[in-house]
Amino acid sequence: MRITIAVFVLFCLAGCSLQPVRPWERGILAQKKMQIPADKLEAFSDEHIYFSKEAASGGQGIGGGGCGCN
Amino acid sequence: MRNALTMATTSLLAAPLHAAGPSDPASEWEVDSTLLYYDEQNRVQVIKPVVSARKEIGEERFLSVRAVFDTMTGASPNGAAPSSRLQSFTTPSGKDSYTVQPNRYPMRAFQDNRVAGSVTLETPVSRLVKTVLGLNGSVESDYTALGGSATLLKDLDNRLTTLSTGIAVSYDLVRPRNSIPQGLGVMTGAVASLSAASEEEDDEGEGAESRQKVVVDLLFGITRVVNKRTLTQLNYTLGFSNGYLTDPYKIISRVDSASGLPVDYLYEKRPGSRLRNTLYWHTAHQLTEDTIHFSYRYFWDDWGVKAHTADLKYRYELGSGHYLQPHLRYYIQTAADFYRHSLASGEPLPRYASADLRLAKFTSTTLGIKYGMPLFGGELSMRIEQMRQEGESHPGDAIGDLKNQDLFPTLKAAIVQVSYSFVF
Repeated sequence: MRITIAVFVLFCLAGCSLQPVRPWERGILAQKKMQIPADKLEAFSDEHIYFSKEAASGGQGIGGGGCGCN
Repeated sequence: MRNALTMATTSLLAAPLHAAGPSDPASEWEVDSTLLYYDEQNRVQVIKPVVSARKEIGEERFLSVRAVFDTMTGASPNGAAPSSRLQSFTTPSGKDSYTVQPNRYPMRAFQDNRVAGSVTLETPVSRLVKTVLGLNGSVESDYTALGGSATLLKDLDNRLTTLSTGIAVSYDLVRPRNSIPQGLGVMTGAVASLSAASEEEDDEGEGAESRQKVVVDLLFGITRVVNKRTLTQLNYTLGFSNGYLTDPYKIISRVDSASGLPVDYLYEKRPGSRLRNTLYWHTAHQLTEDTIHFSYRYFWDDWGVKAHTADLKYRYELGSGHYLQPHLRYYIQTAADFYRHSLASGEPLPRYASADLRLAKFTSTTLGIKYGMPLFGGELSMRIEQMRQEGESHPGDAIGDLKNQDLFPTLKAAIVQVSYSFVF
């Protein structure tokens, strides 16, 4: 529970230094390498690997299909 | 679609610049293709090609399709503990047997292929609201899954913030090669040393386990633009699985309470439901040209598992579109409440038990490097990584012979991937 609160607080702090970003200033954010995730198929492959080898799963998104691996 | 949410989130934030693309974008497919090779020394090997394509089919409407093929071969632990005695087990079909040499970690050979596909539609609902709908399915020889998902994304704050909420439902069908074994029933025909397997076992009285499984996941997320160079995302996922969650092929050794030598083997049994929680935080930040992605995930469920995952990628720009990206991932998990490396004869049978190492306490470290470059108008990238999983080789509660055995052999796996993205 403490970890949950800590992460939430950290997230708020990170978001609190919010600076207005105008539409014409979004060039950097629009780049493929700044997307979350930057490489979709790499993230998809990793998610499958770690889902098959570990007890934890998910986080980034939902859906995407199951398999007989866990 | 697993990544549709995040894809849609960031494309929503970048919306004002999306129109500034190549001419006639409506006729173009953005194609991503990849070939993954995964190799555990002397254990599992997977070859996995994936192709994914996305196209704008209307005003801010996108259609994505993805096809996945998996070829899996090798050997994986069958759940039995190693022993200084020769061990013999029956195969899943129940017709044959295989032996494991003394002091070797018991593995079962297998081979399987899997085909999976998904279709996703992203469509605007209003000026600031967008929805992503997905359908997916997969088939392998003993497993079929069918699922759908729906996500809603809303922009706030002059598009500096995006709220997302989504639901995914999946129906899975398990069809093992033999019949579904009775959970915690004795594996007949399995022999260790000269002792005969006991045929008598308490009938739990619950009848055959369900062969189906339903999984429902809910997601709540916030993505925020922190400044011109920083994006951050926080997601909370709640997942509920209900049905047959046991691995029909995995067993657990029952050992003599004094000598630690195997007496017989029981099929594992897991609870019929599981409630999972995930808190995931990801931040992307660009320095002058280089980019850093850092994520942290906290996972906890009602099986007693708690896990932390930290992931760091640093993309170092080499110029002219070439880059080098080192990657570090660190993972640590606690054991599930019902995880046991073995059971002792004479102790009362627990309600649930599994010796699946994936439910044990362990840490996993992945170190890798990726290289990317522009090629023929698209982007080629290659990565090579090593994953290393280490657990309790000599737990304090090991009995007799088990004290001399490695109850969690270190798992080392190589991950090699080549990808090519282009516009068609």
